[in-house]
Amino acid sequence: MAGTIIADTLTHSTAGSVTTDYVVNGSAKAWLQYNQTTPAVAGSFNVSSISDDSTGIFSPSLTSSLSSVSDCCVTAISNHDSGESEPRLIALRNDQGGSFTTSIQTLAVYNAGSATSLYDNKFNFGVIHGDLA
Amino acid sequence: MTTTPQFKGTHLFDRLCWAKENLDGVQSDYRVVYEDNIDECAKILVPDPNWMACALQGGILPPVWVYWELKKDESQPDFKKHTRGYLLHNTEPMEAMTEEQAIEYLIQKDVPEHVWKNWDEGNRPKMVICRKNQLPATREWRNSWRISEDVTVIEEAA
Repeated sequence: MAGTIIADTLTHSTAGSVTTDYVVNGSAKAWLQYNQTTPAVAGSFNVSSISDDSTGIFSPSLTSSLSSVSDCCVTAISNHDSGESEPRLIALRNDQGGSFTTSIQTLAVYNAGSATSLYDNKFNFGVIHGDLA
Repeated sequence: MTTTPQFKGTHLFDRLCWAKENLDGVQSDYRVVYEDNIDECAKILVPDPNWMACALQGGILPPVWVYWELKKDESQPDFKKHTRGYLLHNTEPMEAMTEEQAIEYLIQKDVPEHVWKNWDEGNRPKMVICRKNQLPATREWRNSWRISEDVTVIEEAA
């Protein structure tokens, strides 16, 4: 591919060096911003679709899959609605019928003050790290 | 019109990086409504705009059978890690698709196989493709949404 640089180390003139392993292993492999109230994908990378499963539950699918689910990290946050004070938490839903595979991870948005309540929120942000297949 | 570089043998992630840099996202008007569990409400598949741009552009996405192969590997009880990821990167990419073809591809990639393979078996369809404005206007009673029993299927899916 044109423009390829093959290097094991990047060196800054004053700040020091970093091996390119840091870049390859440390970069996010997918991210998304999802509005479940419409529902619509507002922004993303390496996502092919998002399944709106039910209130507060959604499942992003990846275009370039992860190599495994034991060597990855999925993190996500959500907002709370205007006038409400409880924060929202996003959790993996793999224990309750959701998916947790190398290409689909089901997420659930809970009200932190009432851990059983699920919510559709406008701003859901997710980031996935790990090795690609 | 942006020309896609010759991507065969290029890591799929690198192709997606190129697409993100060079293609504008395409917000599809299509939604796929499906029911994969009789005890659960209908699910709605929302196509990703960047992915749709890749599908319409051509030369970026692998054929859908590649994903089926990886799913097959992952379904094995002793699965730990993908060893055939090269299929994503080395298989000749798909040519440009129409939006309708892209939706058919996406269904076969992201909707459970037992749904799309038998979508019209039983008393009513388990899956329909519709326009965004055909969905309920609000999220009220979202957990009770089902595909209507008297839905009129005007065109068969793939």
